[in-house]
Amino acid sequence: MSEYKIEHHTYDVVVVGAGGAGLRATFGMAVKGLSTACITKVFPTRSHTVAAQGGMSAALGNMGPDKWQWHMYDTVKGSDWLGDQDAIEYMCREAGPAVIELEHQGVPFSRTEEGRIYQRPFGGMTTEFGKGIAHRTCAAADRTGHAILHTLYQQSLRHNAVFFIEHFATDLIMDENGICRGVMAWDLANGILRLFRAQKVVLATGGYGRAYFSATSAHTCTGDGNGMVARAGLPLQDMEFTQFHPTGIYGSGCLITEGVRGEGGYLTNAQGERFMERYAPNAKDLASRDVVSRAMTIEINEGRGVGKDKDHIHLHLEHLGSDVIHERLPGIAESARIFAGVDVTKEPIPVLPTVHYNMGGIPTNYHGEVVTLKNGEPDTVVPGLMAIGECACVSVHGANRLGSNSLLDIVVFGRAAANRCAETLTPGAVQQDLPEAGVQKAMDRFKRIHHADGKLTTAQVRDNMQRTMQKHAAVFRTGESMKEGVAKMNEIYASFNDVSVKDRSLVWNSDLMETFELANLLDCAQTSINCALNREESRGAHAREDFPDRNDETWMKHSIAWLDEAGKVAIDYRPVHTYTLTDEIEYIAPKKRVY
Amino acid sequence: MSELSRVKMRCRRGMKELDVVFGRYLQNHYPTAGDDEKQYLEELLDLQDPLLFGMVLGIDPVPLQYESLIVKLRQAHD
Repeated sequence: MSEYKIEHHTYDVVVVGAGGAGLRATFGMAVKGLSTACITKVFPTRSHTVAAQGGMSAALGNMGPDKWQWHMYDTVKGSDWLGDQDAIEYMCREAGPAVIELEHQGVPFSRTEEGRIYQRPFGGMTTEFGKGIAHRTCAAADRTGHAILHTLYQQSLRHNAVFFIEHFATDLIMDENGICRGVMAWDLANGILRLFRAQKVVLATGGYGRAYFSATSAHTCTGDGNGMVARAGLPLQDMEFTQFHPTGIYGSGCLITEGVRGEGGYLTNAQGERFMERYAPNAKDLASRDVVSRAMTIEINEGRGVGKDKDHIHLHLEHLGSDVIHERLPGIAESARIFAGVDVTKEPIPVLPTVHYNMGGIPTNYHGEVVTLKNGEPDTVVPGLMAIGECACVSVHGANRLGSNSLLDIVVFGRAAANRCAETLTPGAVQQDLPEAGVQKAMDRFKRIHHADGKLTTAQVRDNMQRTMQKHAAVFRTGESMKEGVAKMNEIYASFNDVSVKDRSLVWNSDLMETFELANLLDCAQTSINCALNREESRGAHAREDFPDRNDETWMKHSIAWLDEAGKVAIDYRPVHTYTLTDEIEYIAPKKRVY
Repeated sequence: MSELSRVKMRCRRGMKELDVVFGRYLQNHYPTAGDDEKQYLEELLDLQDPLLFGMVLGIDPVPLQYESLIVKLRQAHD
């Protein structure tokens, strides 16, 4: 033990992650008088929530009639009936109060001339159960995510929450009864290992886009909470559901907004053909994200991709002319030049369907409490542990998330977690010592990775994983290809035992941190591809060529996957919640999802 | 402590675009950067992501002293 300097801390609540969900929870806990610490590996306003520009949905009805029931219908339909309807009702009902609270806390929402919060339309958001177009999305110019982070961070400090910034949480501390008792974190600036004891640990660690080669998410999105939960012997849910955005720039993954196609941009293959006309004769290049992503992937798989490796597609704007491009699509020309080396007035942008959001994650109820299947009971609460935001699977997004429902999700469930803790915890309650075996397990793992001395670099193993996931578990899924992918992933998972960390320092050791992150990504990738192979139907973002239809009879259920230390995946199921919270809305029965 | 390692961690941002921009800069320009440039880099890293990205895209104005560094940051594609 002497190799490491260890410090002990005790709080009522420890939140891991300082994106929108983590900060909303931290602020909410602190304001209720609970002593609260927030551990974050990057500075709070640099969390990936900062990249959310679109806005946050809530049926405020500021621009015309709207009801939370209509919002609920859209969300259920968007989820392709895999979402839990009690949780979706909760989210859509609480959206209004959650937005108004943010407004009072200081988020500078854009306004109408009458001074109300301005709301704009967004894909999939309708009125009267699909009949009209809803104006439901509230935004703070194009910097909504940043405004939310900034406001909630200030409010958290104001209420005396304690921040452990540039700290990397490595493992949960579980006791012999399966209760979460705390978490261990590595102080990146001075190498101290901190053992946090808490009545409740709240994971708010975000998604795991980096498991794929091409992802729009920041490098920091490495599924750290998911990894911690998997190592604690708990299952991850619906990991096969990954949302792709059709137009990520080839190579870097930086996003080219849908607005480009809205203004007349179009896609071509190696023959210069506008192939979307074949796949979606009406909507063409403006078809929904999953349709366009699948068409692009089929073109590439059939040998009509562009470039030296025939592995991407061209997006054309040059016909629009320089004036239109600069006037209607500010920043696009600059982005294309910086990230693709392309002059959009003269040549097309190379693009590729790119991972954008993870619907799956840590299973929870609508209070944010982590649940598991235990002794036949699928909603068994794991004491001491919560999860919120993209790392969680409540499940409100089911098989596919609607735009502007993610900022809503993080705020509503961050708030719900804080309310639940206020109801169930006693501020300052005496806590037992951390269980020795749990601490030892976390310490041993830290030491093992810190001294890893194999033959492979972290970057090599990560690259193998990313390329395998991109090739075998991306948009176009078949049993055959995924079986090949699972076999490769088994080898790659095992190859982590042969990784090496060159730098043995404990201070600002980016090599070591990336190795811990890689371990978490591998847990996410391994459960994701195995669940994708296992689910023999097409639903939402999970599209199987060999099983093209949704099969409610067999598959309207959540996959839950446990991972053992050797990387072997065991899959079971939890039922979808086919009931609502109140009698103000009835259960929305499955229909075919057509737009 | 490796100075590069510390800067590398601070170059981790909330936006993919900035990760790419700073990642390329660290690889191609940081090894030959002078003390002034390293100091300016530290100052830029203290800024908020949307402003930083706006400066890289040329949408937000760039203070004079950062101009040559921003030009290098814009050379993300090569």
